[in-house]
Formats: sequence, structure tokens, C-alpha cells
Amino acid sequence: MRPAKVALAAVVAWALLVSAACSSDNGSSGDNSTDFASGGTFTLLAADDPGSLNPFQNIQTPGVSMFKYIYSYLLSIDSSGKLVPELATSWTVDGGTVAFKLKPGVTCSDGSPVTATTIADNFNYAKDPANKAVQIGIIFPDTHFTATPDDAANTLTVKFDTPYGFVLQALSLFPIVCGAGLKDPNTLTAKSSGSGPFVLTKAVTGTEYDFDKRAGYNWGPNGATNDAPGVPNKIVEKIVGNQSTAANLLLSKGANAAQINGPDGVRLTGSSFKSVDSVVGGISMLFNESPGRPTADLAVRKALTMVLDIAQVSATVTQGISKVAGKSLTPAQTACDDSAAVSSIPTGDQAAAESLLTQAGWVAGADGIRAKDGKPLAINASYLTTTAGDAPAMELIATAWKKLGVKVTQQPLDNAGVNTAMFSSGNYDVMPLIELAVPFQSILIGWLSGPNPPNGINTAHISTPAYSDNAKKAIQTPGDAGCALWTAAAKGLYENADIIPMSIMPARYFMQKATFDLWIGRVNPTSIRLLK
Amino acid sequence: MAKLSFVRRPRGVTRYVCLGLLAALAFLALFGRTIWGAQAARSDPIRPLEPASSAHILGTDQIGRDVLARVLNASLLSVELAVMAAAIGVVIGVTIGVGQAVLGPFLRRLLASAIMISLAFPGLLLALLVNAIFGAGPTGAVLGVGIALIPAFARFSQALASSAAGSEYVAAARVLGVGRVRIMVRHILPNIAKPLLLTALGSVGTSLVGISALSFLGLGVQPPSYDWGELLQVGLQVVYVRPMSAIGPGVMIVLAGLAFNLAGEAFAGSHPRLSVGEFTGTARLTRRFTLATSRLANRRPDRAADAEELVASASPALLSVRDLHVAFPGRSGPVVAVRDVDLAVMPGERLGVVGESGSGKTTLALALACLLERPATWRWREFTFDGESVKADSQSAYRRLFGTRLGFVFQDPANSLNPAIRVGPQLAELRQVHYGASRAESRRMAVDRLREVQIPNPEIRARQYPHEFSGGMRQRAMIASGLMGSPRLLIADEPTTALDVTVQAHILRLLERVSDGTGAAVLLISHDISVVVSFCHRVLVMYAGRVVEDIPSDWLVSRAAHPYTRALIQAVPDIDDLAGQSLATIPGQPPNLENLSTGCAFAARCAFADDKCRQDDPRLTVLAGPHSAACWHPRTSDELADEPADAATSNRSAP
Amino acid sequence: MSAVTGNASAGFTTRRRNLWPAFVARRLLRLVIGIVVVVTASFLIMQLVPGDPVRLSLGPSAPFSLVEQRRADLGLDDPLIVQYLHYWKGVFGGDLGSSILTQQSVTSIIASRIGNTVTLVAIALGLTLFFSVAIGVTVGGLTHNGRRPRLLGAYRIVASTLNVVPEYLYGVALVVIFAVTLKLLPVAGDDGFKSLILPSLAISLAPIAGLSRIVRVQTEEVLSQEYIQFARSKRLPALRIYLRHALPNLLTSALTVGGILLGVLVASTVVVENVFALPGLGSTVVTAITQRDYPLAQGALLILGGSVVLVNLIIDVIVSLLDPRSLMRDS
Repeated sequence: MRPAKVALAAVVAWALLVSAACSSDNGSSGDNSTDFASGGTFTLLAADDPGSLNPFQNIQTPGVSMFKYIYSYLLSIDSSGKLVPELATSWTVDGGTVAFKLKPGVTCSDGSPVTATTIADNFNYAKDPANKAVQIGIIFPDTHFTATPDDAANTLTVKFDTPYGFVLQALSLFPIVCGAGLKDPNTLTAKSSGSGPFVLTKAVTGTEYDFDKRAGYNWGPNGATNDAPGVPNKIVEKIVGNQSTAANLLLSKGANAAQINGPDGVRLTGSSFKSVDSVVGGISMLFNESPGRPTADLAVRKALTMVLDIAQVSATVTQGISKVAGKSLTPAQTACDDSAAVSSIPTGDQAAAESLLTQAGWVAGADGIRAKDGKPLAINASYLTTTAGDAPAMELIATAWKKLGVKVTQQPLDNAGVNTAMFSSGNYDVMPLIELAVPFQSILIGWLSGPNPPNGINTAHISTPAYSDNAKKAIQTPGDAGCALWTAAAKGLYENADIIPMSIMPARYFMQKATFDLWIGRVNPTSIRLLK
Repeated sequence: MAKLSFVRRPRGVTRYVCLGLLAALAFLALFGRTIWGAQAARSDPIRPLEPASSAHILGTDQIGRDVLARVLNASLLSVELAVMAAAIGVVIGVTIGVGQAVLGPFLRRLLASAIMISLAFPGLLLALLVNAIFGAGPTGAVLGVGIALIPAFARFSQALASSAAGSEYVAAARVLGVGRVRIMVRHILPNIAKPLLLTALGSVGTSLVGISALSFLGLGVQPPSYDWGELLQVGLQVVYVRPMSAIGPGVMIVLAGLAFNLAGEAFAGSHPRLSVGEFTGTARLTRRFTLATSRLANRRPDRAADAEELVASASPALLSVRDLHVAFPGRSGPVVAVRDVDLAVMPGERLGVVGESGSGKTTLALALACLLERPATWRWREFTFDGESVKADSQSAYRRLFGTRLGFVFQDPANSLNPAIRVGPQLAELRQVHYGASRAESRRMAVDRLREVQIPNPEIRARQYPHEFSGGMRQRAMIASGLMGSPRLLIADEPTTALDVTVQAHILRLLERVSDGTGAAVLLISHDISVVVSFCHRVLVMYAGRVVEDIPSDWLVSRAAHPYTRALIQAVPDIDDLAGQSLATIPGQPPNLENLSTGCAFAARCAFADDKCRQDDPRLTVLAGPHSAACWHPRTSDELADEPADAATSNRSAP
Repeated sequence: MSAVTGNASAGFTTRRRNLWPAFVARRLLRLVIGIVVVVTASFLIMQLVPGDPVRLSLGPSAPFSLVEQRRADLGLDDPLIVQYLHYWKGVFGGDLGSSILTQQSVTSIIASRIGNTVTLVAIALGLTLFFSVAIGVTVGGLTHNGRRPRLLGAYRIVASTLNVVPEYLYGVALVVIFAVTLKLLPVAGDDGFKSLILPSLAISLAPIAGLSRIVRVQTEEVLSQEYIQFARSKRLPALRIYLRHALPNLLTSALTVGGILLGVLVASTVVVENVFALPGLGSTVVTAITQRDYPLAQGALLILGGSVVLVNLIIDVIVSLLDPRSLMRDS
């Protein structure tokens, strides 16, 4: 039984996220008045195994979040969404070129120095098509970039052939491998080779991962060091798939932290427990517009959208954590907030939806089901079985659609099933509760526009110029100008009812005898402090 | 020999519980939807996960639906799926299992091996695999569980069919050239149908639980459909917060599973092991024909003198019991198996006890050896063995006494020796337990005893298992076991009944030699009067639990006084009589001990009975010296001399 | 005359044929066949399961060319027979391939998980056999011959009910009682021996209830046999009669059923490992199947299936040691 696999970007597992920390923030590193316990062990429960430990082959959230313990980055994003220096002390952006000044004195876990060349070699490795690095096409749009190091001046210049609007956000997700591991990253199956705050000491797949504190580490994000009081000597991450079990472990003091989105959170009351929420991504409704399907008809898509009480769906799918309708496809995005686009989402009441369908030619028959030209309005709705809130939310949605005279077939699928439906068989009309945990909007371009499978990954056969034109321009436009373009792109999608935001993907963490804040919906390693 | 295993089951309770559960289940399955369907669908998403209350007895689920209504509504689907899965397993499994029973030997072995291997494979994994192929959902679940059931049913029906196929009517059919499929359908299937059906019923319960396990993993029935498994899976997600959501469907699964599993045994029909063998009232006079051996006339001449001497001697009785009384619980009150028995065995005496099945002779033997067990009840006024007085209620106190000085030889050597233990140690342990002898010492003694009873190569034999011995050898070994102590008395219960006629004589001769050699007395129980006469000094005749005659064996033929004894004597066919003649029987039925009439128990079958016989029960009275009989009209020697050989019985039945 | 006395040993050779080699050979053959079947079955079935593990591991945004290339690298597009033979080659060399999702070698993944499952199943099997026999013999002895019929009736109903409850329900109940409420034992995870107590209980409770009923019936049978009367006639102490005389005759059937139960126990670990977050082979199989990680699923199934077949072989041998007649019957 899988719990709300929040951050494991289930199917559309683009698990690169940037967390927009919000709400109850407590016990962060700025709090000096509490008693820190020195040198203990911090035990964390994770729902999923990180997967491959090779940073060039793993972009799923569990893996990416673990890399933050072991590797350093040029820069980071803090809990308020601000870019902060890490390996790079400062930077300037000019068109497609970013010039970094690097921090001196950084060493790898094997003692070797981390120089500008070391960092540049990471870019070169990723760029080489023979290495099939997974960052390409996701956080880096393509391989058209070069990294030029200057060891003497301790600077690094990264040049993208076409300007890339999210270059800084992308680099906050690009781990810098050093030492022996950089020479052949394929050996990184059970060990780490980085300059991060912790060193991996034990890795048992699906079970446990242990880390030791890296002595002398003082080049963390915003100058974080391991000398601060309360930094644990050891971190133990245990893989516990069952949320109730995780709650039990917390209650029996077997762990310091766990993500618990479901009703078991109710048991963790009392002064010993604190909780913090963050947004990991968004849950959205995607229509399949390939020709011949009822959802290729704009009227159908609009009607199906209008008739939903999206706030209620949101409350059900997040098991009560969020009671408002989603405002963005990528709510975890920190660079560009496109929530202004929601005004373009089709709205209306039952009557409006019904007349829209009737006018489009979908007329109710004797059995109550609408049909047009002899073809019934039959919808195949696929959803994930592995997220706890999906099934009841799906039932709500189905009930609302049935009232419209639509024949709904609910199609429960697991991860593999959804992948198959999207990429191989194309056999779905709508996926009302797709989980999207992506760090920035540019990643979605190939998916929401462009060629269809097998030549591309536009699985829903979307062709909305208002989106694709704006998006293509936006990706090359940094700053507010770019953000405005992204908002316009989103508007295009919503007007055409191609894909509609339904809710957020929340992450609710409980902690005891420790504090930390969250990054991409996971524990941020340099913020961990043990309490007495 | 009486198999004194007594079983009185409260069958009724299981049956009623099971029927009740099944009826409730059927009701829910058939009418659940109509009654609770609408309520189950009513959702209230604003108020999810309400706790149990008067409005919602089990609370509500994640979108506010009443859990109890959903649980009851799920009955039809849950039961349906379980039945379908069981059907798949049963039909395919039985076809394979029965089919292979009519295949040729090579194919049969192959198939049998395949079944054994697949039986070992974990069922749930098989179900998972099948499920993975067909995707999550009821089809995959039903197929998965059904296919996982196939090996078990193949094995089970194979075992049943093999034993049926080995039976004679199938052999006959084969000889007659009946085709394989026909044999399977017409001969084998009907005979294995009943146990198969009951097991099939039980497997519905197993399927139910199996499908729920798949649902627990999220692979079973998917929303919007729901069965108990799916409800349980959803409920378990919130079990710590809203336990009722899980308890509801969980209880249903357990109850339904229980109902089907119980059905298997509640209706299994009686086991064959019911009656207290001797007391069914349907036992008929059984006899074996002792053709070639001892005729009644063939006896040692000095036996009578021995007997008189023994009785007249002043030496105290080796074993003496007064007013022995044994009863068993019967269907309607206690059944008396042995009543008012006074008995004495002299040292060195060979005493025989004769009677038909049901006469109480084996019970008597067990009582004298203090081997009776509850629920039998027994009492006596006095019991002395080898100088010690034995109390009825504390038999364990006499362990050493009986262990060392009394030997018991059982009837059926095939089963009296423990098949899992070698013969040597079975003999030796008596020495170890009661005499504290070492292993080596007691083993040596066991080998000696085996030699004494004339088993060749006793050292090798001692290391063998009972099944490697022949029947005669086993009986010798049994006697040897009786000799491991220092027995003053050997009680032998029908020691030769299960043996070949030729071997019988040897065993009896052995017993004689042993008795003479060690000076031990022998109490020989038999239904065969000729055996008893040739071997024993004295004979007790039992009828309906009572000793009806006590007579030296020499006098038996000529002077037996009780009409029953006379009838027994005459019922023994003489080898000269056989040609062209019919067999004698005693008319009437043996007495039904549960329902004894007043008066003499033999009256109904006695040619000489009168009203006094039918009203008053005669006691054992001395007729002459060592001879007593319990009869109002004992036959006198004059009458006997005048009688033709076959007069005591009024008929001879046709052959 | 001598012909008659010699009759005692006629028809039996005093020299015993040694039946063991043939028996062991037959059983080994069965083992080999069993493993071949398991390997082939798991290979074939994984091919039948729909879904693309490469796509799953790379995510939906990966370009098709990359996916195709990975598939080719892993040999997933070779003809079936080639993949099959390649797999056998790996089995003999101890190489079961690499997990598609984590690139770790399947052998090492299995090696790290198998310890828990083996220990769990071993403890569960031990508990099951021990308690079933102990309870079954005790109740059988107490209710033998129609004594204490009420005890027998109550025992029947209780045992039947306990036998039906699924293991995950036991697991949850045990956790609630012993771990959460009483805080006696760990809730979950892998803390050494303590963590195995509740899971092994959860697995064994239902089989104990079921097997003890069978043992009780067997005890009833055995206690009615003449050889028990014989043992009683030797006035042996009751304990000796039960342990030395009755038990060996009981154990054969108990063990045989135990062998079949082994499959049930192993299957139960799949579910129970989930409840207790115990990393073991059972949960590995489930995850591998749902993630379409072919090499891992095949490897885990091979090990699981093969072990069950192997242990059944061992049980067969033990049974034949206990019951010398079975050797003869078998040939």
C-alpha cells in the first residue's frame, strides 16, 4: 500500500522541484533560543528509495533530494525562494552568459580540491552525448553550452548559445561531482564523491542510507557551516513506504522526521511534534486531444472543466491539506509566478455547461447519455492508484460529469500503467489528477506542444499557438519580461482548456527533537538542527 | 478386536453456526444491493472521515459515505469473486488431478511431479504475477487467486482419484476395456465428489481471503467498484484514526471465510470411527474356521489333573478379583460391558476366556491389566495381584508392579508394534524404565529374549523395524516383550487370531513353553474354543459381559453345562463334518448390551429357557469341584450323553 | 517341522536393500526440474507483463531515441530465446543482471534483502511447527476418546476463526497492541532480532491455528492405535509415550503439511514486510513487479521459488528418516 507519493512525481516524474516554502515555518536555523543537542543522529523516514546514486542518471525527486546531502551546487534557493550563493560567491548574467566568482578552499570528500576546472568538467560530462546525462532536455534545454574555467582567478563562465531564462534555477539543481567519482560517475552506485555537508557511509537499496558529517565544511548555501550548534554527526534515512508505519515510528520515538500527508497526522499531536508544510508541485487535469476523441472538442473540454467544484476536488485529493483550487501548473516554481492566468480558466454553472454541450451537438439520448452523430460522449478517465487522495477525488469528478450526461469509465492505473497509456497506447481521454512536480515551466514545453509520439512527447496532441509561441519566447527571456510571457502562455492553455490546474501537491513534514526547513518538498540538509 | 475409541461430537453446534453464517451471507449477497445500495452511494465530501456515531455506525469514508452501508453492499461482489476464483481452481485442478489418474504411468509420474513442484510455489506470488499481466482489477485478482489454487486441488483430487482408481471396480472396468475418460467420469468422479465438493466450499473461504490480500496491496478491485478487500485496504489507511473503517470489512472477511471453512467439516458426514466396536448390537457371531488344527478331542491328557491340582492347592491366587464391573457411556446411558465377574488365576495356571464378539472378554482382559481409560468406568470390590492389593482409582501407583510382573500380548501384531521405532529398543525400554538398566544392558537382554522366542538372527532383527518382520515373528516379538520383565502373568488377547493357521500352532506352543519355563500364568482370550481347549487348563465362558461357565478344559467337551457353551462346542466344524454339510450357527442375534432384558441374557436364544430364565438372572454356582455355571437348567452329564452331537442348537443353516 | 519353523523368515531377505541412493537421486531430479520450471516461468511471465521499465525509469520527458538506445543496451529487443539463454548463462555465472531502475546488480540487491526474509520465514516455520504440534498434541491428548467434548468444540471454533484472519490484519493488530500501545517491541524497520518478532508472529498465527487442527486429528488417530496401547501396557510414563511413541508417527504428516505451508509463509512475508517496513525479498518482488524491473523481479522470483523447492526437498528427506516405511512406499 503506497502512501501519498507526493514528491515521487509519480508518472510524469519530473521530480525536479523548487520548493516555495510557505506557511508554518518554525524552528528554522534562525531560531537561537532553543536548546540544541550537539552531535547526535538525525533519523529521517522517506517514502521512496532514491534510486540511482549517479547524479547524471537520476532526476527523480527522492534521488535529487539525497544529492543535496552529498554534493555542492553553484548556488541554492533558500526557504523563501531567494537565490543564495554556495560554490559561487557571486554572479552576473548577460544574455546567455553567466559569470561566476567561486569560493576558494572547497575540498572534496577525498581531500582533493574543488577548482573551477572541476566544476567545468561536470558541465562537459553532462554535455557529452555519449554519457546520456539525464539533465539534458530537462534542466538544460540542450547541449549547446560551454563552461570555461579560470583556476587562477577562481572564476567560471557558462555560456548558453541561446539565452536560457531559468539558467540560475537550473544550476541550483545541478550537483557538482568531484574527486574520483567525476572521472567515472558510473561507479557511483553505492558511494558518494562530493563536497557536500555529509558523506554517504552506507547505502542499502530500499532500506537505509547513512551519512556522516563532513568535518570542516563551511561552504554551504549562504555560508552555512557544520560547526553550528545542533548539526547532527550522523544522519540515518530509512525507507518506510507506509504512512501509518511512519507515524508509528514517530510516536515510538524511532525517528525525528517523516512526511505524513494523510489522516495519520492527526495522531501526531502534542507539544513534542511540530509540522511544516510546503508545496512540491501541482495536480492538474490533462485532456487528450488526439483526433477522434470526444475531448478533442473544445466545448467538451470546457464543459467538463466548468462543472467541477475544483476546490472540493482539491480538498479531497490533498486529504484536507489544501482546500482551495490550484492556481498554477507549477505552483512550486519560485522564479515566475503565473497564477494570474487562472482568470482564463473556463467557469460557469451546470446550466451553462449543459447548454455548451448541447450547442456543440452533444445531445442527451434516451438513456441520459449525450451523443453526437451517433457517437456517445464516453470518457475514459485514468488516475493513479498509488496516491491516497486520488481515488475519492476521482469519484467526485466522475459523479459531477455523470450529471452532465457523460458516460465516465474510471481507469485506475499504477505508474507503469500511466506511462503506457501516455506513451504507448495513447489510450486515455483525460487524466484529471496528473501530478506535476517540475521546477520551472520550460520543462513542460515538449510535453504541451510540438510533435506527437513517436517523434516527440506531446502525448496529448496539444496545438495551442498562444502557448507555444509565448513559451518559445519566454524560455529565452530572463527576468520579469520572461515571467510575463510565461503567464501569457499559461493563459493560452487555460483558455483552450488543454490542461487545467486542480490543486497543489503538498508535503507536510512532522518533526520531533529536531528542526529543519524544506527544499523541493524534502528536508534541506544544511538546515537540520537537533534539539535536546 | 474392539477398537475402544469413543467419539461423541457436538456436531450440532458447528452445523448450526455454519448454516447461520452462510444464510446471512446469502441474504446479504442477494439483497444487500437493494437494501443498502442507495445509502452506500450517498457522498458528503464536506465531512469526510466522520467517527462512528448513531447516524453512521461505522463512521464515514474519505468522501463522507457511510461505511457500514458500503460494507454490507459489498457482499455480492466479494462473494461472487471468491466463488469464481474457487471455481477456476477447482475445475481446472480437479481435471488435472483426476485426469492424471487415468493416464499411463510415465505421464502420471510427470504430472505428479509437476503438481508437487507447483504446490510448493508460494500462491500469493503466483497470484501477483498473473495479476501483473492482467493489470490491477478484479479480473487479474480472480485469475491470480484461481490459478494459485490449481496445484492444491490437483494434488487433492489426485490423491482421492488414485485411491479410487486403485479400487477393484475400476480395475474391473479397465479389464472390461472401458475407456479412460469414461472411467474417470462414471467411476471415479462420483466417488470423490463429496469430499471434493466440501473442500471446494472451503476453498471459497480461502479465495476470499486471498483476494482481500491482493486488494490490500492495491491490486484487487478498483474504485468505483468495491469489495470487502478494497474497503479494508482503504480503511487500513486510516486505521489508527478511524479503526471502525477497517474493523467493519475485516470482520466480514473473517466471518465469511469462517462460514465457508466450517462448511467443509460441518457437513463432512460421519467418520467411520464411531462405534465402540463391541457394542453396536450388530456384531455377529464371527468365527474363523480352525480346520486343520486342534479338534476338540485333541488335547493333552494331563490337563485336567493339572487344573484340579492348581485349584485345590493351598497356594494363594496369583490374581484375584471380585465383583468386577466395567461400563462405557452409551447413547442413552451407560452400557455395562463386564458385570459381576469374580475371577482367580493361580500361579502357573493357563486360563482361557472364550466368548463371541461383544461378550466382554477383551474388556475383561484390559480391566485385569488395568489398561482401561476414561470415559470407561470400572470398579471392583477386591483386586489382588501377586500379593498386592490394587485400588481401582489409582492405577498409576502400580506402575512398577504391572510393568515388571504383568505382560500383555495384543491381538494384531501388524499394528501393536510402533512402526517408527526399531524392534530392539521397543523391547529394551521396559528394562530401562522399570529396572534402570543401561542401554547396552537392556539391548542385550532384548536380543536374548528374541532368541528365546526363536527368532533367528536376533541381533540383526533387533535393529530392524516392525514392518520388516512377518506376522508370526511380530507376535513372537510381542511375547518376547512380555518377557522383558519378570512376568508372573501373561495376558494374551486373541494372540493368534490375525495369524495364519500354521503359524498359530507355533505361537501357542511358544506360549506354552514360556509358561512352563518361567512359571508364569497365562490368561488367554479367544473366540476360538478349540484353541482355548488345547492350550488352557481351565476355561471361562463369557456371555453378555458375564462369566457363564468356569470349567476345566478337559471337561469341556464332555461336561459343559451351560447351553451356550454347548452351542459353541457344537458350532466348531469337524474336518470330518465338512463334506457336503452346512455350518452350524447359534440362532438369534448376540445381545444388545444397551438394551438388556431382565433375566438370563442367553434366554432368547436358548432352547431350554423357561419363564424363570427370562425373569431371574442366574448367578455363577458351583456344580462340581472346579466346575461352575450360571444357569437355572444346566445340562447334566446324562443328558449330554444322550444327545446327538448337534442337538443343542435347533438348526443348521444352509451353506 | 523345520520347514514350518523356518517359515518365520521365509519371504523376507535379511539383507536390506539400500533404498537411499535411489530416493535421493529422485528427489534431486525433482529439485532440478523444479528450478528449471521456476526460472522459465518467471522469465516468461515477466515478458508477458505489460509496461516498459526503461521508460518508467527515465521518465516521460526523456526523448524516444534515448529510450530506444537504453532498451538496446539492455538487450530488451533481442529475440526471446536469446534473452532466455542469456539469462541462463547469467544464472550459472552468478550474474542475475542489473536492476533497470537503480543499475545495481540484482545479486547484491537480493543478497542484502534475503537475510531478513530467510530469518523471518525460518522463525515463522519454527514457531508454526512447534506450536502446532504442541497445541495439537495437547488438545488431542486431552480430548482423546470423547473426553472433554466442550473443550474440543471450543477449540475447533477458535482455531477455525484464527485460521481465517489474514496476516496483514494480524500485523496491524500486533503493532497496535505491542508496539504502539504497550511499546514493548519496535514498530517497524530493521533493528536486529527484535524487529522480527512481531512480523513472524503475524505470519505464523493463522498457520498455527490451521496446522494444530490437523495435528490434533492425527493425535487422535495415533492415540487410538494399538501400539500406543502396547506402550501403555509397558507402563511407560505418559510423557515418554507422547514424545517417543506418539510423536514420531505424528510428525510425518505435520512436516508434510508444514512443507506446503512454507509456500504460504513465504507468500505472507510479501504482505507483512509492507506493514512492518521490513526490507526483504517479498517486498522486493512486489516492487519489482509493479515497476516492471524485469531482472530484479526474475532474480527475486528465482531465489524465492528455488528456496521453497529446496526446503521441500529437505523436508521430504526428514520425513523419510522419521518414517522408514515411506522409503519403501516411495520406490
